[in-house]
Amino acid sequence: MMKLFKNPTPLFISLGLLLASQFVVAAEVTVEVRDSKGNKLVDAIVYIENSKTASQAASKEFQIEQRGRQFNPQVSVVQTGTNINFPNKDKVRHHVYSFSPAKKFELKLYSGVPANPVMFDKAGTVVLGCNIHDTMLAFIHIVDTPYHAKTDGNGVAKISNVPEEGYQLKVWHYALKTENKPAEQAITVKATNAPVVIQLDINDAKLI
Amino acid sequence: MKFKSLKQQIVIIFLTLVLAIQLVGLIPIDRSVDKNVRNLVAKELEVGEKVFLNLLESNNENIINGAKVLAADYGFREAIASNDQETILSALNNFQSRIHADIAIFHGLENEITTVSGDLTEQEALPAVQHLIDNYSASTQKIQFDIFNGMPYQLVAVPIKAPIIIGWMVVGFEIDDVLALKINQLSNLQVTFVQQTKDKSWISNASTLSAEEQRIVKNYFSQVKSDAIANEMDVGGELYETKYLILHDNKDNKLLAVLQRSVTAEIAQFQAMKYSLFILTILGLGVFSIAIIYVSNYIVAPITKLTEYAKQLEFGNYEAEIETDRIDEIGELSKSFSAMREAIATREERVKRLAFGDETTGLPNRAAFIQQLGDRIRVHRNRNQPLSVLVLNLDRFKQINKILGRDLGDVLLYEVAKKIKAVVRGDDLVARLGADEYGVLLSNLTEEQSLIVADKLKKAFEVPLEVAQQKIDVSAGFGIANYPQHGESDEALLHNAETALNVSKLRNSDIVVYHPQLDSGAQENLTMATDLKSAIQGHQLALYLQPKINMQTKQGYAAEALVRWIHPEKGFIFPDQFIPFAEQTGLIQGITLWMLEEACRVHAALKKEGIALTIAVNISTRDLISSDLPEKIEQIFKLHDVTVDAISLEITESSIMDDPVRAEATLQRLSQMGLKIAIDDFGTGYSSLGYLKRLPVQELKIDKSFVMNMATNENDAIIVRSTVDLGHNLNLKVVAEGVENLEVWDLLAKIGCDYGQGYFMGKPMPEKDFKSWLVRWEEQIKSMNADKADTTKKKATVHKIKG
Ligand SMILES: [Cu+2]
Repeated sequence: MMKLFKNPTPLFISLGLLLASQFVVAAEVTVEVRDSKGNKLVDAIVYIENSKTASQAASKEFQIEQRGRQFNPQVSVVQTGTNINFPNKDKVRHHVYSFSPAKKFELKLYSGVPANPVMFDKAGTVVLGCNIHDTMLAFIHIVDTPYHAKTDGNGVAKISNVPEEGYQLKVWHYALKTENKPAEQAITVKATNAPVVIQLDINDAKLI
Repeated sequence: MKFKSLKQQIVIIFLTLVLAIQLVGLIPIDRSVDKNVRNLVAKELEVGEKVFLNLLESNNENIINGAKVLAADYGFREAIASNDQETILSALNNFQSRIHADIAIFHGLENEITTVSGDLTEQEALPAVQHLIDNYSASTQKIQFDIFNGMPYQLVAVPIKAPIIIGWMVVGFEIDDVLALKINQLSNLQVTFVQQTKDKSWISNASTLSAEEQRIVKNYFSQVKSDAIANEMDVGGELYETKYLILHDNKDNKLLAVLQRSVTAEIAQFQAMKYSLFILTILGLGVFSIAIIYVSNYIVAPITKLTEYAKQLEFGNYEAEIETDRIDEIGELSKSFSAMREAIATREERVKRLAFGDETTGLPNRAAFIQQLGDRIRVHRNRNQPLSVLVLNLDRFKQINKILGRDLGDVLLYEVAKKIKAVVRGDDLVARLGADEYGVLLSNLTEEQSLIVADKLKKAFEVPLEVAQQKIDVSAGFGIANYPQHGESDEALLHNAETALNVSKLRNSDIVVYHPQLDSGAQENLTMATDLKSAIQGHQLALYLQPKINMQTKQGYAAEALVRWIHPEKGFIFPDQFIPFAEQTGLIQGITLWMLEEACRVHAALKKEGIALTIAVNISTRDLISSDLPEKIEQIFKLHDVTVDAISLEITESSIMDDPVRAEATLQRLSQMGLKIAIDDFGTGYSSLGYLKRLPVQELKIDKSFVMNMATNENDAIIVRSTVDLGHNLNLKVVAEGVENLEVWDLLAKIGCDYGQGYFMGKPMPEKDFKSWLVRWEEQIKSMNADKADTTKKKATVHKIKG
């Protein structure tokens, strides 16, 4: 379903970045994400992949709370195989579900912490909803790489400890006009890498 | 416009008024009906449109709510998530039948599948679905329509969220006659949905109109461009106020809702109302006409009768009676009319009598006299003939009236009228001009001739009148004015005659013919008054003595003092000519005082010569009324050093009667002084015996008019005799005046009269002649005695007092 290069995203590749790929050392990738108007974009998911990244195991657990009748965080990125807990911090009960093909599940009306976390073992996007509260919405982007990050308030995401190699840089945002087709770009990670600036075509109406 | 009849007026005015009111009412009604109906219809249409839109909106909402239920169903969403087409379709069918929708479509976003319930294919449904999704707005849910297979549908789209939108539910209801009817029931409008198809032809999909009417509406749209659609549409002869709404418009087709309200039907309702109003108006007019005619008859008929009646009055017919039993204003008017008729009749009768007749005497009155005089003057002017106006006025009528009483006074006036008429010619006009004034219009008489008539009248007045078996002496003054020499108009002639009459009264002369100097009467009176005053002061007056003889002793006992005026220019003036004037002006008091003094002086003078003569002085009304007379007399006595027997007083009956109370008081005081008092002219004054009895008088003097002719006139003789008897019965001495011959003397002596006075014994004479008269009288007595020597031995001597 992912069709690479189908919609080429404009790339900004600096000369320094090309030079840095000569050495295999850990480096940091900084990506600045903006929308088409040049505004800083929060909660964009930035990750890099290559042939080696998929085989790296994910051992971390993750948790998405329900607090104040909202998911927190609303946008998350996890590596495939991550167990996610959904602790309910509200006094009301929630019925968390997902009809997304990446992971269909439902946690029928519960309070507190469910007995078992949910394992997300397939890359893709999962849209979380609550069958009780229509306004509750959260996105989990599941990627096959440990090198991922989420843009902060300045629209900047940093991925650290990345071996200096060539990667495919992918940027996804839940309000992307192309839906589940992230922007992609090949990069070579080097220590002297300058920040990569990515511009996404965003459907403003979908922003939460 | 003038009406000849009141009835016509009332009827026409009121009917016009009513008609006008009705018209004024009807015209605006008629005018406003059309306008109002259109306004009303337009308003109904407006309301209907809102009702229509509300209905569509509420439909919309119902559908949305229904669709939302399905869209939120977890199972349905799960089926969508798992792309379970069969489950999705069965859920759609179930949902469609549950909410009685005509179409239910699911359109998934994930894999762009479209599931359609009913007979539609995906290809047919997709463009509309896409359009709906594109136009979706969660906040404003527009009412949307579209056409599937040539049929119009009302459609709604609802997103299916999980929790982001994963697909759409589209639900549609076919627009059919049921919907149109539902709108019609709610809004009372005719509703037609017309559609313009792809090939630009028009079809109607649903309507409350008949097929034929739908065809007309449809044709209308195919003929007229939509932007030129009028508000009114003629649908098979029925006029509709029309409004249309574009429900759907895209390049392929167009859907309109045509809302209509019949103007014709609405007007028909008003028309019916107008018709009944018109009928009512006609009926009302009819009823009103009858009522008005009846009322006007009721009012006018009696007025017509009264008019007829008034005409009768106009012609002098006072006989007709008005009969009415009405108690309203008309009845009141009739009664007033009736009363007026009687009043007019009575008044006319009286006016006739008063205007031209005097009720007391039956003579024409002053007005009639003046009118006749005017008429005669005109006649005589043309004929150049003379004319004479003679007016006469009764002397002392006021007193006579007082004594006789009014009724007898009236009889007297009547008798006077008779007397005058008896003297003048039959066609001479005799009229009563005032209370005691008569006028005679003597035609064709010269001044000389009129004087003869006046003289005849004067003579006629010498015969006493008989009133209620009493003989009453009435004298009169006469004034004459002649046409044309004394005036040429009626007023002037009468005025001048009356001037002459006044002069006659003043001068106490019987007949005065007018001459211009009389007009300056006031001047003349002034002259006379001045003259008289100077006469009193300037010794122009003279005292004459007329002896009073005791008829038994034939001795001179007393004398009456008479005044004479020797005017330096006019010569000898008799008292008759100035005493009435003096009495009127008050100068009489001066004369009386002069007389009293002169009498005292003469008495004193005669006394010195051995003659004791009591001199009688005449006292007038004014003297009697002035209360200081007794004091004045006493002063005179003192002045001349005489005793009370120097004078006696004579008063006339009439002078007492003017103010009996004061007269009596004065007389009492005079009597207490010792003065002897005599009543003069007894028998002419109508005084009552009872009153006379009370007065302190000692003598009665019988008026000479009775005495003079008593030898020849048996009646006079009787009066004299009875008066003498009366006097004696009252203990009074009786004096007869006017003894002019021996015959009368003898008669008087025989009936026991106490004293006599007259030419037979002696005329009034100056003081200086008195002694010689005494000598002559002695001679006369001797001859008288000689005549009857055998019977009378007594010697007539003059009583002498000691010298
Ligand atoms: Cu919830």
